Amino acid sequence: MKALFTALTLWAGAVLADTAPDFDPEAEARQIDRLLSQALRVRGSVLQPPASDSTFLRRSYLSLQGRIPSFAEAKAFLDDSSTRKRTQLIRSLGGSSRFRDGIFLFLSDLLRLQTHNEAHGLGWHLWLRDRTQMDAPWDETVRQMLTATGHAAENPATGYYLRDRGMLLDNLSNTFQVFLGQQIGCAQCHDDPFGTTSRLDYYQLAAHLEHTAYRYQEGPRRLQKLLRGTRYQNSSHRSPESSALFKKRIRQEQRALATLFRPHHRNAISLNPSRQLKLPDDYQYPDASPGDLLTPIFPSLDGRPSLPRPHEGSSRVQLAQWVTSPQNVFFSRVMVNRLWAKTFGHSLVPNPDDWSDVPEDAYPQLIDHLGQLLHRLNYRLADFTLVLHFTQLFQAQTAPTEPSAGFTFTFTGPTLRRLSAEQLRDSLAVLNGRNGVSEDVRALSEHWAQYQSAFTHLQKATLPELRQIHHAYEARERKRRVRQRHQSQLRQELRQLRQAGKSAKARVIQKHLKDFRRQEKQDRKRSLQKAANIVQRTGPAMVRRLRLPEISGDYFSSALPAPAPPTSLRRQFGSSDRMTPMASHSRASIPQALRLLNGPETRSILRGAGRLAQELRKTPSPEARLQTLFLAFYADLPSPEERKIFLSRTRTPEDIRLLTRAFSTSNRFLFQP
Amino acid sequence: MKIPSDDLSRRTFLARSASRGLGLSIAGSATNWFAAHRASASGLPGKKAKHIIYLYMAGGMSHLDTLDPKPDAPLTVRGPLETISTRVPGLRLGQYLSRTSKHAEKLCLVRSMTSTQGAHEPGKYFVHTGHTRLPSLTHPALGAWMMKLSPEEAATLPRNLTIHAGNDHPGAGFLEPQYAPLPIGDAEKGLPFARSHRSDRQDALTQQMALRKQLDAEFNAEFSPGYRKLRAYDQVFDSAVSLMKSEDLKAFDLSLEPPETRALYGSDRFGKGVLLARRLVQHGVRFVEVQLGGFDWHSDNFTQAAEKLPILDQALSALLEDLTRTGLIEETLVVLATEFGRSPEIDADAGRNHHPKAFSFLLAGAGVKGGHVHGATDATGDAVVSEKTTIPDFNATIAAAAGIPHNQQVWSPSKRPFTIGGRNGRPISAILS
Repeated sequence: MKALFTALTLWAGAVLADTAPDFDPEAEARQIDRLLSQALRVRGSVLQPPASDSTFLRRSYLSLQGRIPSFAEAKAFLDDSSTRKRTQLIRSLGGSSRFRDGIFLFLSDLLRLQTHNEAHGLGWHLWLRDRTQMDAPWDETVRQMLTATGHAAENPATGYYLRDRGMLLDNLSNTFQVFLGQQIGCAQCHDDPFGTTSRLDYYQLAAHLEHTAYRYQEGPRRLQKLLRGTRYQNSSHRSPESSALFKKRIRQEQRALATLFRPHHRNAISLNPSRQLKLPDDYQYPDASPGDLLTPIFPSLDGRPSLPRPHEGSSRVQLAQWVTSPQNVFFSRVMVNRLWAKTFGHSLVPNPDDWSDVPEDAYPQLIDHLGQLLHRLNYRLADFTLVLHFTQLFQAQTAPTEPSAGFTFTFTGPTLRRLSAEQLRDSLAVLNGRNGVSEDVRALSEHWAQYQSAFTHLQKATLPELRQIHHAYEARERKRRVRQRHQSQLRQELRQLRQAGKSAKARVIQKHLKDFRRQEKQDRKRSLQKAANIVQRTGPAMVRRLRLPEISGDYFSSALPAPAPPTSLRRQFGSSDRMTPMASHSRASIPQALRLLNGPETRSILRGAGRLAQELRKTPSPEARLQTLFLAFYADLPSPEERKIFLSRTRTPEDIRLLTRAFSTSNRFLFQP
Repeated sequence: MKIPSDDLSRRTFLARSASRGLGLSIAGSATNWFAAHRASASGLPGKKAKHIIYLYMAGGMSHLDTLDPKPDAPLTVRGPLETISTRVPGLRLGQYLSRTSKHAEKLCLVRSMTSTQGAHEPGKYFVHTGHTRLPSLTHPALGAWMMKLSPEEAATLPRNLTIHAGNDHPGAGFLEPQYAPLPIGDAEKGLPFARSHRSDRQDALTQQMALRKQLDAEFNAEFSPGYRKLRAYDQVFDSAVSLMKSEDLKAFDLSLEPPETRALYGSDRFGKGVLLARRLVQHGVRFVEVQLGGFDWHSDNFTQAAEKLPILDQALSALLEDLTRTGLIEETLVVLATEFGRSPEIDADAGRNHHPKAFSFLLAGAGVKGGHVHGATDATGDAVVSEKTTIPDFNATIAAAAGIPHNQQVWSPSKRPFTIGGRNGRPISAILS
């Protein structure tokens, strides 16, 4: 319940306080409007007139809260007669954590964040969310990721490199695409026939990362030290034979205990100064030879002279500084172009991922100005995005025609957009929610904190403690195997009985299996409760994969692990699979229609204790019920014409159900002008 | 927009709307389902497979205990399992593939598979796409390639599906979402949400759709002239309603199978998935992948084999028998794949570890030779000794068997050219028929 109404109760502008005191978002927005109208004039166009209150309201909620407004919120806004209500709405919605969660979702799509990826996925997820909630400077966030080393439990920013474990060169290509809008991936194998990057350029750039290794060194080093101590104490007065035996035991123990540290290789980045990058064996051009060592050199971007090299730091630090340098205009421009697309439905520069061939009419002055604005705002993405919401463009009626791919769009208004998969899911959650929908990530963060403390414990553990953890793991593993074998036998038996048509006996076995699984779950729970000691509690878990907790109940998409399962509503409606940057889409498909027609999310709107169901039940008059439905789905009141058509449909429960389901499948619900 | 009610004219209608480029689809999008079969321009044999049933064993199936047993290897390698001889001279299979072994004359084993990817996720990705993973783009999986490179044709059913596949399936990759497979989460339940609720009144759907049109009247009048994607939604709703009433939906209904056939495939989840795949193929589906998980036997290899392999054996043999009975085998290719094999050494926990160096795949049916073994491993199944076959080679072979040009370039949005078999994949002409 709380989350639902946080936005409106927040005092206007409360969270804007931590930016520069002279920062006036409305004045900044006016400047953007001026530049846009100049550009439109050149194109022989003008801005559309302002949109209706209802369109503006719904658009604002979707953009700043990731969901449609509830009927109560819609009614309150439409009833408000204040002349400043639009600005006040933007200020109050823009001050909420939900708005920043929207930016977090956008960044996670851009960075292909996968919460389930080993342990580092969850750590990176929570780290990025924290930074977004603080509206931490984007350039600093990028530098922290590009220079990250250590274990993810201690430095979750390593998630950026670990996301592409074992694919460092590809990760670099991606860095250039995501942050700088440059496609350099081709040059990994050959001189780029379209661009200016040669294969040598590529490798000289990659040389900045040559020391980066996907390894966890501290643990194994510590283990070696601990065991060396053992050998030293015990082997001084022994015969050669027993000493050999002793060494063998040490080796065995080292191998056994090393298994505790093995999963951590997958969750850590280390720097190895002796690693060198060489030109690959199939290097094919005369300017260098296969096997040549490389000097780190920055490429020139878009034919501009390469920026001066920063003076200090390792080559990786220099790379991070170079990418995020204020002189590197692509860094800010690429981001403002993406945020423009997020706010208005289409980007200024038509292909946000490839700036090699920008059309001349792609708003050069506006892009330049926006880039500078982002810099002036200290790369605070939320502040910047909020400025865009104060523009006249954001308030304008929708542009009458859709953009065509590859061409500069004439921004007479925002484009008509289908609700994103997350917006749709969260809007349905609000319509269905019993007690409101939560944005709380506590379930995830508590889980991560436990992982971190277990990791810290392992880091500091003495040799006896390490042995204890190892034994605990082994014991649990043995138990698991016994159980697995038992279950496997039961399943085989069940199968054979079923095949023989002995269904009565099969049912007995099936019950056994069910009981066994239930017992196992209970045992596990009990043993966790009993284990007061962290070694017992987390030791075994440490060496296994981190598994995410199951989250049940009403949560917003931003509080859930991503990517969503393939059969989920989110994925069906084009939520990103987090395999490539910005992979979400809003293409129509028949399963989407089937889901809305017959799926649980729309069917349950009128059942039980959902908010809309409750409201409709306590609304006695058909007239008021019709209003509630229009407000709940469209944030609007029915027109006289609509009242005439639909009023007869809000009298019987059967008709109300039909009408509600028609609302939940209508284009007007699925799209936002 | 009104959809003609009889089947044929509806298809024509959909074909026409497809050609208008309304961007409508079932699996992500898509103007087109069943495609007409197209012969490849290359001079290779094959080209017979109109349908592909792709069985994927997730976790890394042991080649030593299934398709490439080594009866003469030491006990420490072959383990306690027996091997079975077949009607094809020299072709032996593992103990738990007894039913499949009766179809030996249809089988085409590739015992010389080798991969460069030794971890599950990258291995799965490699096998599905023929390419190693890249962070900047996702490669299309085989089914999406097939869709892309086949001529488009309208149909009411999706043409590319996965059954019981996980979250990491590459889907359409960088290709348009309309080529993405439609995921079926539970074969028994069929196409998700395709049925009205029992409690609904008979004409409820018609009424609901009429109300929907009325609600949208003004909105559509304002925006649909300028926005194709809005028009596309009206179309997918119309198509969804036609589909709900259509005969084609029966393709998803396993209960329509005679009890003997259901018994043949068995009551396992996988068996039902394979039976559904057969039904879908019968209704014209081009590519369907069925996954069976749980092959990662790092411990208790042989206990787990005893449980898992009979499930595979029953479903695979049932499929071959059923396809033969219905004659569909003449135009259907069955593939059995996994991410890698397992190590010849059996470790202290009686497990086998990942072994990408050498393993086996199986093909059967249209476009490939039957009773044929391609390539071989050494005495312990550790290394390939003849006819080394890479994953891109294998995928190019499937393409050739289906008459898809394996070397036709498709450009990614980042302007990079890709082909179904990668840069180096070549079809194995020796096994095409």
